[in-house]
Amino acid sequence: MTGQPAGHFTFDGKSVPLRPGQSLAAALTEAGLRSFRQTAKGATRGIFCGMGVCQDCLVTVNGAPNRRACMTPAVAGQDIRTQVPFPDLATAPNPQPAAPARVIAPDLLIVGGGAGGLSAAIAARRAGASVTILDERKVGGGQYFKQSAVSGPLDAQQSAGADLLAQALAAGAELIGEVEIWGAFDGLLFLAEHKGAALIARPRAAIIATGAYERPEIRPGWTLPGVMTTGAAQTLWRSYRTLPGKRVALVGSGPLNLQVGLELAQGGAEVVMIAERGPAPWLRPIAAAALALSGPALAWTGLRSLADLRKRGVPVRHGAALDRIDAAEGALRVTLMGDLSPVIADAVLMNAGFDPQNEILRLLGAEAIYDPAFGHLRITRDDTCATTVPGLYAVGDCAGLGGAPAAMAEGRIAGRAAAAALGFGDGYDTFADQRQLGRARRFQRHLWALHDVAPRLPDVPDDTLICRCEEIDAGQIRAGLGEKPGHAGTLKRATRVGMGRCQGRYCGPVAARLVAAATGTPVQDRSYFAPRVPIKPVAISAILAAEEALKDAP
Amino acid sequence: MMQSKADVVVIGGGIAGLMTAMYLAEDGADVLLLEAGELGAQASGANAGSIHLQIQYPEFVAYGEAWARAYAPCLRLLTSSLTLWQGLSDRVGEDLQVKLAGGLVVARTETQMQAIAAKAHIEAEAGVETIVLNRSDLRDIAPYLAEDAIGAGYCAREGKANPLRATPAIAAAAERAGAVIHRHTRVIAIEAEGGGYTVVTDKGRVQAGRVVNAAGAAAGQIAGMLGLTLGIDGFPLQVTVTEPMAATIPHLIYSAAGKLSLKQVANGGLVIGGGWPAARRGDGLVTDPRSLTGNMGMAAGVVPSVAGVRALRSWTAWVNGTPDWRPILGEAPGLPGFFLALFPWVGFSAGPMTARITADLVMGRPPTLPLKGISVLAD
Repeated sequence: MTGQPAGHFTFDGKSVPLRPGQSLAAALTEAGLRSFRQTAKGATRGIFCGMGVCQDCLVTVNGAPNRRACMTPAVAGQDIRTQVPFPDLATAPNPQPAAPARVIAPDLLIVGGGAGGLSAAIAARRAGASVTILDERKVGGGQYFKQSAVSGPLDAQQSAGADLLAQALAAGAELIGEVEIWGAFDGLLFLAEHKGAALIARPRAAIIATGAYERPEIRPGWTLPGVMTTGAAQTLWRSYRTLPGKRVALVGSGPLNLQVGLELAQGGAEVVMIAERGPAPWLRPIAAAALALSGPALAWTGLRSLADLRKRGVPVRHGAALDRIDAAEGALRVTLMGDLSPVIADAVLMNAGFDPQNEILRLLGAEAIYDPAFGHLRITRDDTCATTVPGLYAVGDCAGLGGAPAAMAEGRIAGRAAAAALGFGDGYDTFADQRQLGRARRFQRHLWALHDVAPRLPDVPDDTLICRCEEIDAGQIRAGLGEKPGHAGTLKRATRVGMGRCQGRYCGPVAARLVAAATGTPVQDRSYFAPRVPIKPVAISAILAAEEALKDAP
Repeated sequence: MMQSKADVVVIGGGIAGLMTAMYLAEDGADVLLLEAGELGAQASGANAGSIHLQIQYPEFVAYGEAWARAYAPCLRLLTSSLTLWQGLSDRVGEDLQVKLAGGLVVARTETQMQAIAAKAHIEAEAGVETIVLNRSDLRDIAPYLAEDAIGAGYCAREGKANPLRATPAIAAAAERAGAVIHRHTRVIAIEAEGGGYTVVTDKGRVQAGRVVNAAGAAAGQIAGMLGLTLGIDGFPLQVTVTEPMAATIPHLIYSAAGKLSLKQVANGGLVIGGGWPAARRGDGLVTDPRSLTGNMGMAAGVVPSVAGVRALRSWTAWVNGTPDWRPILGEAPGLPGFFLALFPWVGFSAGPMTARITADLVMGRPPTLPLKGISVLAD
């Protein structure tokens, strides 16, 4: 798209060009390569979540199996191969730690360098607390600000993010990127992998700002290569200037689909369809007016996007839901419910709401309450964003959907409160932030009322996969439910649903809802699979790298 | 609505209780099984799936030869339990992924080799053959082991089974035979009266002529309801599984250097445990970071290529144990009709035979295997 190739790597022996900063997933996508791995049952998979969560884009990198293409930078000369389902144990490399384990003990640890985390860092640092931010990505900014990893002009959202990032660093916060936290333990101990070495954090307090991941449309064909989340496509485009495909269809519900549809159309993709589950705003004038009143500027941006899409001839179909996706004509055929004229696309993007990345919070024992409107847990917090676990705060979408403006207000409040609790500053007057937060939360409520992200029980044929990783289909889940499991964990043990690499992030909420429905009990925090260590798959060598440093620690 | 009467009430929905209920129902008894939570949710479902036979090496070293000699008769029960395991898939009509390809206690030092030999000698007296392998013999059958492995104790009959499949399949077989299973039914009191028992639960009362206590870690609490003190306790343990790899390791691997069990299960994942303690939080359990690093270190020390594999998930569970490792099997002294079906520490391996013997005793038959020297109740 932009820039010249900076070299080539090979994929199964075939030369693939790369541009500086691109991820493997981006470079492969740009080359039209969509199938990255084979599953145990002989299917193929490619990029799906684009943010390191789903573990479906695995490839073998220079002989090392099971590396996420979306999180691995493309480097000239790499030998990349399709990931086989059962790599050879004997040839699995035994990586030695790149450096000794690093132990940090800041006053305040912030997990996640997005809108909420950066805001919290600035506030706490200005109060005088020492602050370290850990982020999974190489470049901070998070999923909302989506910083560019390649050279080129920034858009307005990226500029705002870059500005926040610069403020945090100027305030003296340390940001460590490419950190994969795999364990969180009592006493506030965090174990992580950082570029092949161990990182051990023993902060006095912690603010979790890990955001959310996207809820997919679980429909026939949702695991096909070329089908990805809308956020994955947005990362491809905004961070790597790579289009997810030439012809693109978007399905699901929510403002992100409209925004990304427009961004991709502006970027040169042919957006063949945007299907939105919710009714058209002009059919819900009162709700639309409420939205406009609660956030005129943001509502105006939304309306302008719709108008712009229309001007570009992008068909936006309201009240339309995905039925199925099939491989056809070397591409994907997208069929909507009750629709006789499917469309053909190279990439299908889906977003049907969000689920909080609350694994660290739940692992540490933070209490939560189920929010039926959004179909996910909301972490129980006081008005300083403190959770029920001493010294542990939660800000932004990881505590329950609220959007970036709310996350930033929560970050400022929690950052000051956490610092004050540690004896830095006096907490200040948070009145202005609380007011902004109230406004942002009201806007979110009205915004989502116009969309349709109500959690659903999967009404799919028996052969549709529910668990992507373990390839457990709806029929197997239904058979498992026939045994009357009293808990989602029992269904997990009986069917293996949720036992794969993504650790139940996509099928877990479905299993919780199904078991709750079958047993006639309300969904609550204990309805979900129990949170487990590691938070994400981690090489045993990385666990071992932490061993010595843990021994010395108190 | 729960029935108010049964011939036999079995308390505990783990492998021992469920299989006892299955045998009893097959014998025509009217059996009601009560489980406080979900079936197989504790030790029976959350153990690492090892089918053990040989005396555990760390305990042999820690407790000494006198202990091992006192424990050795229990190997007879384990031996017959392994035979039951081999036929269990056919019996319950589901593949329980039972593979008895042998267990290896891997040694690094001559001292460890000597202890393995001494242990093998005691095992042989109890009819269990453990072959002491030298370096080259070991390398021939297990080329995936670390270079510093100088030998091993090889017990050919040991292996693995899938705990996730075993308990539900046995429960289904028990129900097919006519046993009634009530989950989420907690026993809160037991009253002895008129030669029988009234079992009081949070869902109602049930009268039974005979009661079987197969409650594992909670067995002490259940026995206490009748004034009986048992030396059995719950211990929180954790196990870790990796992502799938090509089939490489057929054996059950132990280390003479410390606590370890490592095996490759049917789907290709490596299951790593060996008795590392989980941490407690409130009334629940969480993964202990030092146990995790220690356990992984032990695994990578014996099978170095494990270090390059990613761990997917660790889990925790209460297992049950006694200080002398010997089972508490049989009718409780002074409590006619109240039976104890408890095999500590290796209850998954011993579960089928524990159940067989308990069913025999409940039905008033001599046990399939004489318990003298095995059960602490038969000394």
